[in-house]
Amino acid sequence: MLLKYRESSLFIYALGVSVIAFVSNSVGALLIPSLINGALGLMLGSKRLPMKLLLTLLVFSTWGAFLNGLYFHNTGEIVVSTRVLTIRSGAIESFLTVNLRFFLIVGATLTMLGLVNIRDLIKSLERDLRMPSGLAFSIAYAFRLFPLLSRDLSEVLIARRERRVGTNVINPKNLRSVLLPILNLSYERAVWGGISAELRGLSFRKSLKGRPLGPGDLIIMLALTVQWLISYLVPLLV
Amino acid sequence: MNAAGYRMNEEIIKGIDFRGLDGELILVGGSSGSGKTTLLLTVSGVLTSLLGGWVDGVVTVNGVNTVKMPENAVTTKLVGLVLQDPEKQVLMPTPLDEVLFTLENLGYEEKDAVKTAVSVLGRFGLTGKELTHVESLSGGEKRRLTLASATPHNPYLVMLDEPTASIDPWGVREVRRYVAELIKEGHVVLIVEHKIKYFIDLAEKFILIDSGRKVAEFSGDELRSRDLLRGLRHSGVDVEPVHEPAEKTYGGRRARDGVVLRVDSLECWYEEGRPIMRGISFELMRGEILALVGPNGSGKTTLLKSIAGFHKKCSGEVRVATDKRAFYVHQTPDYMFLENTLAKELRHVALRTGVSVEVLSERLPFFTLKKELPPYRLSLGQRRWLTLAIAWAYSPELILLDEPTAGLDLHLLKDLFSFIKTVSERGTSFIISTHDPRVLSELADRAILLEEGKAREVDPFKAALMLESIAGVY
Repeated sequence: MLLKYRESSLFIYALGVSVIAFVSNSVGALLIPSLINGALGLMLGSKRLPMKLLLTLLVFSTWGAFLNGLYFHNTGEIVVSTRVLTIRSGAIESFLTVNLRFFLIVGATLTMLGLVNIRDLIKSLERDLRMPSGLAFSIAYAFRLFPLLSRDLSEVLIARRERRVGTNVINPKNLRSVLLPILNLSYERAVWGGISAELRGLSFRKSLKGRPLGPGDLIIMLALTVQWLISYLVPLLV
Repeated sequence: MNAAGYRMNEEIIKGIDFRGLDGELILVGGSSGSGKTTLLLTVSGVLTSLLGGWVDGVVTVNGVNTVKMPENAVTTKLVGLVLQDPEKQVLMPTPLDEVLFTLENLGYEEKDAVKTAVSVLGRFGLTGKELTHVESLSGGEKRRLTLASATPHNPYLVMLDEPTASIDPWGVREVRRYVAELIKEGHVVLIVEHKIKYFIDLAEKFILIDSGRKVAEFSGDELRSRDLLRGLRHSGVDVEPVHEPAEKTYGGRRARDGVVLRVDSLECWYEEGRPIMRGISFELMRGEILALVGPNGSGKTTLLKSIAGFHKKCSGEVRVATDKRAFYVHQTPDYMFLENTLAKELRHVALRTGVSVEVLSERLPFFTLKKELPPYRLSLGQRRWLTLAIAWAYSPELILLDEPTAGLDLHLLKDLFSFIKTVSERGTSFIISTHDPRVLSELADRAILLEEGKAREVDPFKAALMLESIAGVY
């Protein structure tokens, strides 16, 4: 039997799980929700979001987390020591925390994207959460931009190869010039996308009647609550 | 309308007036930057209600003053506006969702909306593609989808911004057919276009604008006079069918200095076991200009990327004569830029290639005026020009251009052709993927037609005539 659920419940789930990522600051609190959402997200959402983009984001995140750990949290016991680098337990913990947060947020977003259609999400945000149509559209349209970002990135990397500049996105020197064209194109797309939506009557949208919660919604909310509890209780037990 | 602009004290429109009657097609032409798109945004009410612009004057559509609409209330029910670039206006993941989005905004019940959407998509030849992801559609299909999604509710005024840019002649024919239907149904149609030759036989009026001002207005009968069309050449508008230039000599460069590129039995695919082209073999001589034509989705871009070494799912052989590889110039110029001002961009190129900034800036007539601007804020023609100059600076044996003429007015097109000719005469070869018959008739030495996965050599001028006849040029 197919469980019925509101698309907005998944939106609340993704938002709620992301809050865990921002609130929790220990590896123990983040580990289980991250693994659950990371696995679910990869399973459900990888068809909607190109893996290449995800890997690139992961590389950015990993590199940023490593530098952050090394420069700002390199305290505690020595774990690795070489002639040029000493890595202490604080840096490792910080590195893991940031990456687990990343997995958690991306996993929850992918889970939602894998299970909803953008148009249905707009409708559900409007009718079930009473969100203004402009805001609901902006949120849903942001998800539409992901595959385009991925395409932009691969074309930018082709152009960089042509111009014999680095394509290694781990290198911070390359980051600005990789992001510059992508941000410019995304900005232009967002402006014209907004105009296109308004031209097609976004302001005329009428609010539809809300729907009652179904068993699917309850399961989603239960999953969110369980993860909240895990992230709260695990640090107390460890 | 006396004046209009995006910011106070900045006049983009400086005096345009015209009247359209039921069942009339009004063409608006003019060079790049003459204010054509701003005119459409003004008439639709977008300029004042969404972009914070201003208008001195009145625009009335079926009795409604569109420039005095309340904030954020545009004229959707009255006006359907199809923007220039389909990539920037497709909002939903599938064609069905795209059309449903408009219909639901306008209050259609779900059942009616689905029924109408399916029928509208059928009208635009998208039956069977309702649930295909939009990124899998060809350029022509995306253009048709934008037409379908902007007008499923039958608005009184339909406005199209450069509807033939980047689409193949088959797509142009579809757009023409649609415009003819709209006229027959009594809609007013307003088209802004550089290549007005595609619509001359359907038009009742032609407005020529320059620097935001109406400089001339012609009736349909006047427009169909060959003498008048010849006189309009200077205006940056493409009005005439292709013709064979007297000075062009086909194959003039063929026997020059040997082979630059050899492609042998090339087969390319995206999904294993489903090749999009096979058995592609040809040679290119030094300094030769080869045009690659074929319908949207026939594999032209894939072939260019395979030659440049960026599309790896291929078998067969691609051999470029020297270690200076082929340089691929993308259809979207913005991908190529690395810096946030034009001056810095050229300094970067100079550093990498050894070509001095002075030499590079001589190649760019707009450099002095625009050097402190981000390259992204140059006009489309200028951005294309800049990418070509960048490619040239790397001194490749072969430059691969993907749709370089899309969106260029006649002046910019001539400048681009002259740049390409100069570079090719110094020995650089070009392969140009294009739908533009003018590339074939005025620039290309040879042409290859890619169709149904096969390639065959065709006479460039005959191919140009074929493309124009498919599109239905007057």
